[in-house]
Amino acid sequence: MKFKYGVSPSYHNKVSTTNMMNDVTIALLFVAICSIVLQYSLYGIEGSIRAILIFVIAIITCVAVDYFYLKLTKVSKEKVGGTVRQNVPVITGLILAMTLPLGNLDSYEIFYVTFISAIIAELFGKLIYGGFGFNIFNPAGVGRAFALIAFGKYLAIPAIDGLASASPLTALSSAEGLSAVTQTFNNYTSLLFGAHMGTIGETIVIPIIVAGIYLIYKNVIDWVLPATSIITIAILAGVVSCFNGGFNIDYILIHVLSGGLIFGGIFMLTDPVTNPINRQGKMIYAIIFALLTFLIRVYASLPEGVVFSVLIVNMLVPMIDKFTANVTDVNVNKKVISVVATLVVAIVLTCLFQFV
Amino acid sequence: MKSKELFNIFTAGIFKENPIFVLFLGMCPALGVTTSVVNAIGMGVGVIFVLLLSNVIISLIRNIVMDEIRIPVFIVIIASLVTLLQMFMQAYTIELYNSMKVFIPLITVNCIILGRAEAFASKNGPVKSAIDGVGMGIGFMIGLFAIAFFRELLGTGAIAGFQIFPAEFAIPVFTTAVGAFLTLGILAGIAMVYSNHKKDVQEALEKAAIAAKKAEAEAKKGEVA
Repeated sequence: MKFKYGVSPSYHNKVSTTNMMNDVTIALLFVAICSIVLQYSLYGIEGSIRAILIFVIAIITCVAVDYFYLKLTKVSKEKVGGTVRQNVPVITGLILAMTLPLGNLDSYEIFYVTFISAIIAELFGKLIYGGFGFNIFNPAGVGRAFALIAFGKYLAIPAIDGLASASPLTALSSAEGLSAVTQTFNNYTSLLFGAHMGTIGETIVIPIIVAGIYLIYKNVIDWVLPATSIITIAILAGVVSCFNGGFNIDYILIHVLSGGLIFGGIFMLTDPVTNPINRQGKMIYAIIFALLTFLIRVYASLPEGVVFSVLIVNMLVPMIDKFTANVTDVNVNKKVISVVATLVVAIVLTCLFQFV
Repeated sequence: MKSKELFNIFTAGIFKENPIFVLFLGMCPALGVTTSVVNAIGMGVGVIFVLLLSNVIISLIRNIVMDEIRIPVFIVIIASLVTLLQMFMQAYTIELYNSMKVFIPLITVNCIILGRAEAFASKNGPVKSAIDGVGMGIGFMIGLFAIAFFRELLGTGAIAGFQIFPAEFAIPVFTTAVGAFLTLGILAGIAMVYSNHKKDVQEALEKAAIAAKKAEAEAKKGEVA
């Protein structure tokens, strides 16, 4: 007996998969163009050429892998052209390229790294599970994590004007900690427009927020996910700063604005496939994501934890779905209680880590 | 004894019941020792040696061993053979011995050897058991070789000291345990796809044959009428 599977188009919502993916592509292209301009202002023409090359390599590799895999495995005809026409591999390539750094300006290894991690992202992040709609993990996150594990030494973030200084998050987890960061990055306009070191597309906050508002307006992503994760990070940073000599608004703002939190919250966490079903589940999902990101940033040896947190919470989605399955809009109490409980657990865990 | 039956027993270990890609036995050396092709072949030869001798000995004594103590008896035989192998390797191939280290004594607890002793040698005669042991051993060696080939090639860019592509383009993650799991999974998946495809083809052929027979019978009926 054979079962027929198909990706569900959400017709009741007036938002078909194709339209949704087109909107996401438009938003991502907007951010990509802004980040290419940013690289021009930081590193000159060489920086923007490198950024464009990374984007092109990632997108072409993803599309080619998707197309040829579906052709080779003889998936039905509609699907072979289908996912490519719906821009699904293009989105994976764009997100992956934005989470990669430019690499050392005089070496070309980063293009090879982009190529390999795009193959891994598309093949092992998505196609092995049966294509778009069946993947467990965020494909771009899989590619990025593989790049970090396999090619850690090639992923250096280039220094601006030949000055060797750390990115805000690297500085946060170093010994000097907060005071060094607030001295170096006291200029919030530079944080908002991404004029500091980081990956290609993650640091450019204002365009990412504009793209996110566009997607929320178009009903493509749920505003709950980015909002909950940002608020949770802010609360956790506030709690930690209270334990370390008084409440400090700079510490909170740096945690929220630097690094890939906003980018990951808007583009990676809201991936329509790897997401809990109902809103309460989404809130719990975002809170756990924020907790993991914060713990990895502050206590682990990595400066940034967004990608790994996304992959870890993706694993928890079936559990969250099962936990929130019987919650409807009628029993609001249970909904509120479980979200608040998750938040409290997150804060308590952070406080515990303070004293370990 | 028909030679075809013996041949079937021999090829079962290589293709249909390949210990690594179909039965998933002996995963410990398959993941641990396959960092280089030389190691993989060394481990394969060692396993063939132990498997052949243990299968023959066990099939010879299968009628005089009581059922209650058969597993300890098998283990003692296998362990003595492995100790023999270890001493031989230490005497004649000291480099291989050093690079494989703990995995040689671990052959004792390798599931393939006890599994074949239990499933095949304790029920069949010595000739059949010997052929089964060699077939399973060769299948195991082919599996190890395939995994080690891709791991060494992708992880270092070289095969047995011969550089195939520059080392800067290597993907170092394939020399670690993560790469071992990835390679094993992909190769097992490909083997599964191939065997499923073969099964489908066979079923289609059988159906076609039955249909042809029916048509023939009907044609004959028509002639008679």
